[in-house]
Amino acid sequence: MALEITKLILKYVSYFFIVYMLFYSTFLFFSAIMGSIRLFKNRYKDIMHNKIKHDYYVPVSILVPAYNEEKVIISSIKSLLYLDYKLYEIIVINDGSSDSTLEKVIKEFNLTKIDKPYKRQIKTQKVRGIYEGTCKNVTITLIDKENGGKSDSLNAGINLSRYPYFLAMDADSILQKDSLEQLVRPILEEENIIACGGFIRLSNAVTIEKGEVTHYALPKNALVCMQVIEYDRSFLASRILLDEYNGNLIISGAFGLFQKEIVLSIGGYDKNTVGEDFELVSKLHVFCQKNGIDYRIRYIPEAICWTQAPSTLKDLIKQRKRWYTGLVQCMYKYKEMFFNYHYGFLSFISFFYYLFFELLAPFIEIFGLISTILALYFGILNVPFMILFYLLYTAFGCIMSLTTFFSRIHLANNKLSFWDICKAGLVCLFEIVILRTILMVARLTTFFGYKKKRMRWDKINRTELNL
Amino acid sequence: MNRIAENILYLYLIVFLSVLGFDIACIFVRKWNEKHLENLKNNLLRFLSQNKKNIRSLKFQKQFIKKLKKMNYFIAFTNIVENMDKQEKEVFLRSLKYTFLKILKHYQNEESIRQTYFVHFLAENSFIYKDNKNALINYLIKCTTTTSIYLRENALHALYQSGRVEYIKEAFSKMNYLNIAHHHKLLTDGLLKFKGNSKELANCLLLELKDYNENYQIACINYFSYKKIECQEILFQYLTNKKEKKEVRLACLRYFKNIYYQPVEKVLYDFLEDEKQNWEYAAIAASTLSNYQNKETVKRLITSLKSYNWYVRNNAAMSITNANDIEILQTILQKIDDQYAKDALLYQMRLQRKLG
Repeated sequence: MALEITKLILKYVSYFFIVYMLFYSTFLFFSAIMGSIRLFKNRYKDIMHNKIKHDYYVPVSILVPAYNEEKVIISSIKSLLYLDYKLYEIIVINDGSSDSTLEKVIKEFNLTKIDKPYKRQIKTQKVRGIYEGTCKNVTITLIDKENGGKSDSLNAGINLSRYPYFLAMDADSILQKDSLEQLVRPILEEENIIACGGFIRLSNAVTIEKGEVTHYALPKNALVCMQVIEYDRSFLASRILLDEYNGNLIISGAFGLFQKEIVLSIGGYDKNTVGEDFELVSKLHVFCQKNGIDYRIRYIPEAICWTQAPSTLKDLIKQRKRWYTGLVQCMYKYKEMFFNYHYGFLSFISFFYYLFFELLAPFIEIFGLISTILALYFGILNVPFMILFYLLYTAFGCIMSLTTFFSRIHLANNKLSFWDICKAGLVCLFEIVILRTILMVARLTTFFGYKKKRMRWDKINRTELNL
Repeated sequence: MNRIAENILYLYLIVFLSVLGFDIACIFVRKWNEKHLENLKNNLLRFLSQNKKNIRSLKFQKQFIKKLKKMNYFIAFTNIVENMDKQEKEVFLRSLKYTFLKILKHYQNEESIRQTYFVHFLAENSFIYKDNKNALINYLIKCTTTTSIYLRENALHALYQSGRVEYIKEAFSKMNYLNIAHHHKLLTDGLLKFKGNSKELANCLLLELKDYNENYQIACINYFSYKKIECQEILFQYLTNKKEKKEVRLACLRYFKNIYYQPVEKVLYDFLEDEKQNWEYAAIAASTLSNYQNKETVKRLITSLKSYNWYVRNNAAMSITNANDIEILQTILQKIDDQYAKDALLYQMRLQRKLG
């Protein structure tokens, strides 16, 4: 009897998995198709002069939070000085670094200490000093404050910013020359835009000169290479689909433009999470929906920001654990979005996707593995079907990754060597089999020591930027 | 169930393979396109040089129009024109006026993306259409009311290039009447690129101002401000009329920072006093007062230095520092007993290097 019940349960479990994987592949399917169509259309529009080209757009404050970033901070600020944009200021926030980040910035840009009065609209850790100077007609402000995390640093930057829009970025990121212009354009095109996110690409094997890519190749490091494929799939597929109905729940912390007024109305970044980028966008959605504000949060794949990917397994796991912790914290905080018809697509597609295919995915995967072993033990596993299904699913994943990869090559007009093209095909396979398994384990182990690490900003080893 | 899942995955695989094939094909097609465009250009150049003498003949026109109706040929044609020197281009394109009127009939029924390209070409070569009102002008004005912002913007750009006030007036009236949402910054920037007599344009817009909605009013007022157009009396009425929209009144306040008008002084003082009701007016009034310096203004601004509002305080400090020399500023500084006010003033003095 017990055996019969177990077999019945396992049978329904197998149905659950088939439905689950079909839902997931359907989502990926539509996102990759939508991504390809939109990229193709955007390129066509560009050729046909369908763009707003102006000398002056809206003024923007660029916020660069830095915690022990002595290796990359100077090149990162220098890259900002090459932006093809007329009116902006750079605000670097030194979050109590224990290395020489502060001294290096002061010395390199010849900044002087000033007593600048500013409006403390959001509460932050104590500001120890403000330094200011100009370089290439761009004002550079350096805020030296006590350590409080990335959110706290960004809030301090918002307090000191002069302009109505701010761009939040990471200290190890490099903005492509035209990226700010691309990101700001939608603000002039549509009236209700409150935030825009751009496309994050990995800079590990790229040479950038004066804000322009002069050499592009796939990285030699297999781990980084797999991340290139992963980033392309994420940024050129799902985000474009979610953008179609204003459903993006995240704008990457490495590159996001926000309307200052509305961010101030919701109290700025939340300091009690490590997923401050996810949290801010979710909070904006909830705030606007609750107050009946007509709003739009856009994703612009043409606006490109280059960032460094972790090149060691240890760093990658650290990074992904932090992301996953942030995801858990934010999804729990905004659980009201779950199956709530007030939020429409945002609830039934975006939140559903992040919940089942991101947050719960590692548990569902491990559950699947246990079920398979049990089914094998009880002799009810259709082994040929399972192998075929797995192979099909792997092939599906590979082709999807390749599709987004080539869409990006098409979009960015990148030139790839024949070897790189072969490498991309091979890496897609490894990404599905190896990287996803690693990430699953990393996510599962996030909860070990969660209490201790929930607010910790683990540092990742940086290498000097290839400028 | 298993069979259905398997079939669906097969289906996805096939579609993905097609998309992947499409992407790879696109990469190769792009390379081929570059060569193809070169071929079309050479083809067209040959055709034009063969028919140099009978460019006005009906036969040539017919053949040429047939070619230009094809988008790729039109792109090749625009590339050829771009490489000509200014004078040669003008003579050549003027001789093809009739051709453009003919191909207009084709392009105005095309999708908006292609129309945008066609209009962009016109905007870059305004001598084709600007001399007298014809079908091209009517088409451009019509384009300013379409849903595509790119087409609207290119059409407006073409009209600004014409340098004719009446075209702008008509386009703005239609856009305003149909409540077309076009960012006021784009409108102001566009007006600043107007190729004709800017005073004439300003006078025309001034007459229409009362009929415009908030967005178009702000765009025009900002334009008057940048161009320093003397229309103080009219804008003073807008500023003092409490029924006017806030953003319009704020735009007027900014205008008076650029253009001096004595009667506005009293209104600015009133805004400063009323800061608790409306801090935005007070903040901009404090900034505008930098253009209205006298003893009374300095007195009022010193009071505003102690404002509860950060922006009012900061702008008042900026205005005081702008208009006074070091000695006066030092005296003011000594008289202030409020630390926030002192900080604000000191920072502005340091910024403007007036610390002595």
